Amino acid sequence: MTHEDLADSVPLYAIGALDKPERQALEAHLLSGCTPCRTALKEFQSVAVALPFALNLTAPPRGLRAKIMGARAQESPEESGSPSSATPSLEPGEWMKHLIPPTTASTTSFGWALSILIVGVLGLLIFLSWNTSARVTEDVNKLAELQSQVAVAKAKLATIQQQLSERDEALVQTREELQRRLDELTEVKDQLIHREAELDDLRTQLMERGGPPAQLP
Amino acid sequence: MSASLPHAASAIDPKIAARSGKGDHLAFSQLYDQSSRVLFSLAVRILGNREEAEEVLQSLYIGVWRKTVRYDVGRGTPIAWLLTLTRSRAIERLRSSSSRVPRQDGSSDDIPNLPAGEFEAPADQALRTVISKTLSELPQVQRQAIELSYYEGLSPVEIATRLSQPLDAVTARLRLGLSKLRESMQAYWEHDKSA
Repeated sequence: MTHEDLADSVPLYAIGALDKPERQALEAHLLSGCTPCRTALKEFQSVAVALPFALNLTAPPRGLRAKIMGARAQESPEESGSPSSATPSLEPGEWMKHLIPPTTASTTSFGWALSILIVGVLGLLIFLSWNTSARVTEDVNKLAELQSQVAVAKAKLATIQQQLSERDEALVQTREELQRRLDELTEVKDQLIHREAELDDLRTQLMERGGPPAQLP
Repeated sequence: MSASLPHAASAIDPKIAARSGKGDHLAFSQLYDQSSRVLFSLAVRILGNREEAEEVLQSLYIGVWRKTVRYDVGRGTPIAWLLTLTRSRAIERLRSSSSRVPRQDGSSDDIPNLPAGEFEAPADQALRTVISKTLSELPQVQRQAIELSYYEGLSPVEIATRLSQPLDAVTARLRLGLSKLRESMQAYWEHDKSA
C-alpha cells in the first residue's frame, strides 16, 4: 500500500468506515510517525465530532435526569442503610417499655394485664403492616438497583470486548513484525551460506594453483 | 467566538469530565447539562426511537459516574469522547435489533425538535451554523454516503449494496465529502483559535 493510498484512507478511518486490514495498515502507518497523516486524522476526527451539531436539537425527557441522578444516589443509602437500623425503636418489646413503666407482681391487676395484651396486639399489628410496606419499598429499590447493575455490567462487557479486540489487533501487528524479522534473518542466513560457498571456491582455486593455503576468514 | 461560555457542549472543560468520574456531584451535573442535548439528539438520530436513546444515555452517564468509562485527556475533547461512546453504543444497539427497519432517507426531519438557537450556547450555535451550511453545500450523494456511514454505521460495501452503486463510487463520495467538510471547517477552527 502506497503512502497515497494510506492518506486517502484517513477520512474513512475517522468515521469508522474502514475494514479491519485497512484499519490495521493505517494504524501501523500512523504509529510509524507520519506527521501529515496524523494531522489530517485529527482534523477529520474533529469533522466527525462536529456532524451531530448539525442535527435538530432534541431535548432529553425531564425524567432521564431524575433517573440518572436517582440511580447514582441509590449507591450511598443502599450501602449504608441496613434494615436493622430502622427496626429497634419499633420492636414490640421497646414499645412495651415506653408505654408501661416497670411494675412489681403485686401491683399487677387483671385490667393491667388486659391493657398490656391489647397494646401488645395493636403493636404487633402496626409492626406487621409497617414491615410489609417497608419490604415492598425495599424490593422496589433492590429491583431498580439490580437493573442499573445489569446496565453497568453490559457497559463493562462492551468495554472489555473492545479492549480484547484492541489487544488482538496489537497481537496481529506483533506477529506480522516478527514474521518480517524472521524473513530478514532467513535472507541474511542465505547470504552467509552464499559467501561461505564463495570462500570455499576461492580456497580450492588457490590450492589448485599450488600456493600455500590462504588464511581466509 | 465565545468558546469559553460555560454551557456549550462543544466547550466542556476537561476538568469537569475528569471530576465527574471521581464522585463530584456538581461536575457530573454540569457535564450532563452541557452534553445531554446533543448526545440525546445523536442517539435519537441513530436509533430513530426516543425510549431507546434514553436507555443508551442512561447507561452511558451511569457508566461515567461509576467509572466504567473514563475520560482520558489524551483522547480528545470531552464532547468528542462522549459523542464517540454514544455513537458506538447506539450503532451497536441498532445492529443487535434485528426487527428494526433502517431509516431509508437519512433524514431527521420527523424528530420533534426545538427551534435552532433556543437554549443553545453561542459556541454551539456557531458550530451548528458552519457545519449545517457546509453539509447543505455538499452534493446530495456525498451527504447521503456520509450520513449512512456515520448514523447507521454502514461500511462502504454495505452502502454500495444499499444504494446499488459501485464500491469505488461510494468510497470516493465519502472521501470527497469529508475532505470538503474538513476544508470548510478549517477556516472556522482558525477563527476559533484566534478568538
